[in-house]
Amino acid sequence: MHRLRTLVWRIRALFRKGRLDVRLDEELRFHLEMETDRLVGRGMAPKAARLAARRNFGGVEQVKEICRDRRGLPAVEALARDLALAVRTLLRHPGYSAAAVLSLALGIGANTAVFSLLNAFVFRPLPYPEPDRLVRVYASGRLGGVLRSGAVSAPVLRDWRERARAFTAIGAFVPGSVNLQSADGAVRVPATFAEPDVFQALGVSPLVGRPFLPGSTTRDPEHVVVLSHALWLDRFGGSKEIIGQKIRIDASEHTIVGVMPAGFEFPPRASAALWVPLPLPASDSTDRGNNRLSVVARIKPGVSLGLARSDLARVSRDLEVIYPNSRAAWATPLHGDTVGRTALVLIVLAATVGFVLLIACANVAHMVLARAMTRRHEFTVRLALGASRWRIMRLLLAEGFILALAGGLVGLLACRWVLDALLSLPANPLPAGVDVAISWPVLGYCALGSALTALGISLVPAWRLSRQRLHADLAEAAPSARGRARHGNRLITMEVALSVALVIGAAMLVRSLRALTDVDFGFRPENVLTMRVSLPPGRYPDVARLHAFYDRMLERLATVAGVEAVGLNNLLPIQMTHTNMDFTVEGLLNDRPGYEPFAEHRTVNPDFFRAMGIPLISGRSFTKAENRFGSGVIVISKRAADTYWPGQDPIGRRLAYGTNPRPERWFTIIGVAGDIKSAGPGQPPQVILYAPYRDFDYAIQSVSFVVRSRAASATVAAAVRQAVRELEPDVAVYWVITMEEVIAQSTAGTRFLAVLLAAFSILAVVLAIVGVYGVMSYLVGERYREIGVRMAVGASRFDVLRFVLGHAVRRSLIGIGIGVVASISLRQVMRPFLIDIGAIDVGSQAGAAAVILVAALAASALPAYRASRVDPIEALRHQ
Amino acid sequence: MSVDNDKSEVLQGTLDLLVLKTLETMGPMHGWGIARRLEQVSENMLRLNQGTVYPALLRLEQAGWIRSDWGVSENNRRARFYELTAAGRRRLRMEEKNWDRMSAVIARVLRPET
Repeated sequence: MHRLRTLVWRIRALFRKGRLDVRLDEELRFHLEMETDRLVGRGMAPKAARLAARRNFGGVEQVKEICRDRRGLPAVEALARDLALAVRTLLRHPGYSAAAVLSLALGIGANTAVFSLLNAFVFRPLPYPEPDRLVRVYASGRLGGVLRSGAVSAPVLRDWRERARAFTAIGAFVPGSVNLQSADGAVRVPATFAEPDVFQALGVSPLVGRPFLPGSTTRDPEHVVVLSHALWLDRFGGSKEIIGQKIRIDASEHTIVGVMPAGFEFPPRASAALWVPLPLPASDSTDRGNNRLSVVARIKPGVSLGLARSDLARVSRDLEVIYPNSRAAWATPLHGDTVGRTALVLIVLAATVGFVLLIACANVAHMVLARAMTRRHEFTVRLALGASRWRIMRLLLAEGFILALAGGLVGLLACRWVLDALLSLPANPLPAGVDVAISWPVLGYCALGSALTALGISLVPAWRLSRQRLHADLAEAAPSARGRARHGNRLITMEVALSVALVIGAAMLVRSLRALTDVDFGFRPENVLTMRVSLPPGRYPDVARLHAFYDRMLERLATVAGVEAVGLNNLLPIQMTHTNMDFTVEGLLNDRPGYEPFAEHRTVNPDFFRAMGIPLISGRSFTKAENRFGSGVIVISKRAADTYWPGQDPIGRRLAYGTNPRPERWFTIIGVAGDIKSAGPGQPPQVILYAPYRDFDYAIQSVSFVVRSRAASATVAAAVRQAVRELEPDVAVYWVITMEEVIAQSTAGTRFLAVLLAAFSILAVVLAIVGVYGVMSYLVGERYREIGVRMAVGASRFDVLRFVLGHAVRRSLIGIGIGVVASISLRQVMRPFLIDIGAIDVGSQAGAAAVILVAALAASALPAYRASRVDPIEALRHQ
Repeated sequence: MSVDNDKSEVLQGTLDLLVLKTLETMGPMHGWGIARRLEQVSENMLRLNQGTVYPALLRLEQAGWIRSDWGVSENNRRARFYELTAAGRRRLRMEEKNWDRMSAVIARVLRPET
């Protein structure tokens, strides 16, 4: 109890120090006067009495000191004093302090920026209640012997829903976009087609209104819409009166039934503006291979992920009995599924900026140490006068703390700037629409980073200094210079190692990027403009009229000046891929379940190959006359021919879609097209089946047009848009983009990383050059006398130059060795972004090593030159 | 430094007890008065600098056993007067009891009577 009271008293005393000092002074003065009076009263001379009174009292100053220490909290006061002293010392050396703060700010700012990205995109929990019970469910199985997970067909989903017991809700959705009619024409907005079960699984109720009711997903769905909070505010001013109002989506009236709360997003980390019911065929179960649905499900309370997976495995086994060769259901946590690739990009970035901060810390630590060494006379005197080593270390820690604090604050400002720069990079693979804010966790991370930085930059100098030997320093003897040299050497090694690793990483990415852009895609992307057209469902209810529209469109586009060929296909290569249709090869008996032939299914027009610039290796493309229902002709890719008709001529052979084909739907192969890298530049060519678009009796509402022109694509874009508008004003034309841009987008992740890693490794190299320069100049200064002695006993200026540069080179080589080894593990992390790079990329490693060695030599050149200019006589006289 | 071998060192902690007891018998008192009183009572047998009462007074005040205020001394000067608080009185009772028990034990160890 009284201990607590004492503490409270002491804390209060901190704030009334002055008054308490005055009080003590007055009290002691009174005491001495009283004692003097008493002694005078006993007959002493006043002067003698004053001395005797002091003697009787004991040490006046000691008593004051004891009282002061006992008052207040001496540790806190000492800390405040140290900090104030550190601030004053740093302000006296503005250049030095600014350099230190700036390098720390760069390091801390970059780290905080990457952390806030990680926080926004990866760590932040998904905005649903109990998000860890949400899973994505995939149909997974062997396709051509390779295990793949993919989208699901409606009948399969229905079977899962009926049989699985571990889930409260299983819902299908398809992310996409719709035409939203507004005052100034139709705009394309991101939208998600979702079953009512999706909202049930997510467990988020609308802010206003209701979600979809069960039954709104039949072939002819109820025309309702749920708005996002942002769209509600933006378009309807947040009015609650909007429930029941109608808006035009894809050219048909939709009734607004609900508004989701702010912060709700689905799919996660994406910015759908609205949700409309997903139209699903009512009951036909023939279409089990039409895999186009994404599935989200909520696991029942008390059921583990493992249990849910075995439940799905049981369901899959049961279904396998009924439908042989069906694919198994596989659940994976929604969060991991959402953040996977983004997390990878950001982790590579985090490692990079971590390296940069380490280098910055090493530099500043060396600056602090070098300056501490120039003050070692001051410290030695303090030590000799009785200051404890801890006291001296505290001074350095305080300086480190102040530097890191300033660095952290400036870094926080820099962070906002770095973030804006990162997010505005053109090739930014991060999902759009995620608010990246400097939130409390980010501030906490920044504080933690700064604190670690403070320790990093002051512990090494403090430790070095605490090992200082008094007599050695007073005598300015050699051994301590040697110790300091060792520290500088380690620093050079570390900085070189870190920057070599970063430069190798950047070099590998840049090489990958070149490999990605130099790749032969199997078609000619130059002068090709592509666009996607979506027809509102209901606008062309029957397939014949839809196809007639496509025909008209093809004809109209062909008349645009400068156009050579116009192609149509359901999915544009590279832009959209992985449809994975099973098919049957006539005469090929498949006795290995899971190894059924599968292919990418493309519906095209006869001129498609000419428009894309895909060569026909043998046979021919179909004629206009063959572009009709039931013509039964098909063109396959070379990869398909090699895989399923090896060593044979596939022309004239037959195949059919699905594993149990209808007998009247066999297709005869009439041509083999060259392979194209349709899955992206780093991917192997796919097995592709090209069929005429009129040969299918179901409506394809969205298609891509491919326009090859004689001049640059950009010049025909406006004319093409104009042509479409004349033909059909209601249709939304979007993704108007050249084929070359499509290719560039597909390499965005690698490009983004390459640009950033290149920027950060340049920063790292610059910091390392500054660091090596600092260490070398310092070492030359330390060895001033030694150099003088060497020259006095006959070393030439050239010998001295060689001595200094040799030192730097030896240290750098060790660092390069470590860095090269470290880059091997860095490569493991970056592997998904690397194309055509072997386990040991000699080119990148040798290049990086050479760059760093030259940089280290350049950084040491000036100190070495200064060393060679040393005047031996001057040096020997120097103390 | 003079060497008075017949003077005793003040035991650590006993000074607090002496100061509290002095304040109890004398009533409110200033530092010099307390120091003089201790010298008189111990008949100069304690080796005690007068100054040492001030840290003790500070310690006791922090613990809430005494309180202090400005007052006027017997010769009309401004002086800091210390007085016992209720908590201090309780503390004194406890310390006295401890002391009695302790000295009894020590006396018995030093002069066994059986």
